[in-house]
Amino acid sequence: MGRWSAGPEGRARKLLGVQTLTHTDPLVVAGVELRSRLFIGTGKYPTEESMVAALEASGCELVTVALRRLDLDDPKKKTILDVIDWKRYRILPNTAGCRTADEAIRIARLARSMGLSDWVKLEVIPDPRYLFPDPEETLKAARVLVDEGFQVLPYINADPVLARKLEEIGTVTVMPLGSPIGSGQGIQTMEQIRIIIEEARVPVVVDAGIGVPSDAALAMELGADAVLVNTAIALASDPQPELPDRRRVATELARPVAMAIVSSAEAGLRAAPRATILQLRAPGLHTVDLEREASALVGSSTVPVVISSRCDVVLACGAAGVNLPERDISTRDARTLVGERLVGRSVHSLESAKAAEAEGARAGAAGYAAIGLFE
Amino acid sequence: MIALQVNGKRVELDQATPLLAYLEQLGVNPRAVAVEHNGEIIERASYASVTLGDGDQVEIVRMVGGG
Repeated sequence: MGRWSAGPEGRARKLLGVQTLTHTDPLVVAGVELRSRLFIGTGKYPTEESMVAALEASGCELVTVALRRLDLDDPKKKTILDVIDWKRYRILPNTAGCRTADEAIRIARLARSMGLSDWVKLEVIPDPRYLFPDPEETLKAARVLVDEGFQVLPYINADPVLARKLEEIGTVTVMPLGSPIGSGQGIQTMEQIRIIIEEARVPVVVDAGIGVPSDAALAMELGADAVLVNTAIALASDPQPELPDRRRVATELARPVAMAIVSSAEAGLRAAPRATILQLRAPGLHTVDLEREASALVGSSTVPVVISSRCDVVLACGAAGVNLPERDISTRDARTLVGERLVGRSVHSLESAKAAEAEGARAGAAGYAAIGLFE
Repeated sequence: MIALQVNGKRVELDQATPLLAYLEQLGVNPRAVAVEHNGEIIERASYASVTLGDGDQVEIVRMVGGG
């Protein structure tokens, strides 16, 4: 799958960063270090409890909120400020509901006057159907807000030119959409997001459209610095055991690389919707049968496929890479065999993970290491 | 008796009232809202010194869940 071929060094190294270095390689936004690369929106949850549970399970640190008129008929109603423990989370007010630059500027100023944050997720959305942001009004509002000392995180369509203009104005991130808000259609704007990531010097946060953990993983593999998710977590279904519940979705999104180990192509295709990467490991098969299964899986999987141990089969079937058991050949030797493809190693402690990473880094190429996700 | 517009609704008060007192009367935690008075955003430190008078326009917003 071209969509998932192993990328050049920078992208794959991000993959490693997500998986093993979440806590030692923080994201820095406007000078603030964030250990979690998952930002969560607080809309659409059926209950306050489910929202709090999802936030806790995810380990996220940045949480978006909206501003609305106080209801004079029920002024004492609890607000989100009463529900969430704001010592644990950094608050990111948004300008949702604003259709023009002037409205967004007003809401941003009101939010800041509450004294909680000078960060603002700038969204100017005149289109009620697809919720696409207005680039002209967003740019106009960003100029004013940056001048007034706001830390502006603009929500934009995946337009590299607009992203560059916003960065030049002084926004602290750019937040391109993967697909329309709430649609769960994943990253439809992949090529433009790839260009934005390549060119941006501020963090790139993929916002909107992420529906399943593999969408988040794709964003991170492209090189995004973080993802913002709301609907996919808020509307995840608790009661049906066949579907991932809200907490699990939040957890998986927080750790976007979740490997499923499978022993056949058929099992791989069943596992793919829940996994962010597949490992085919079938030590009992003859090589000819392993190659057949691998080719079938690589040909139809929507997530990348790595093959356990067998660099020859990786090359024969065009897999994304190889996964080395702990006592397999060295990362460097595997790298020589498979070139720029992913080279992973199963490890069972943070120390081994760091050692594997260091080895991969010395070899001057991409790799990843997984902790306790399998075996 | 004075009349003002609060969040688009007509509100009657016995007399000109400090903003902070009005919020307390509503039962609202002043730390949990932001207020615009005649088009001007009022910093929280000024809630006690701003007085709501006849014909004033007031907007009070609060934070809610949102993405």
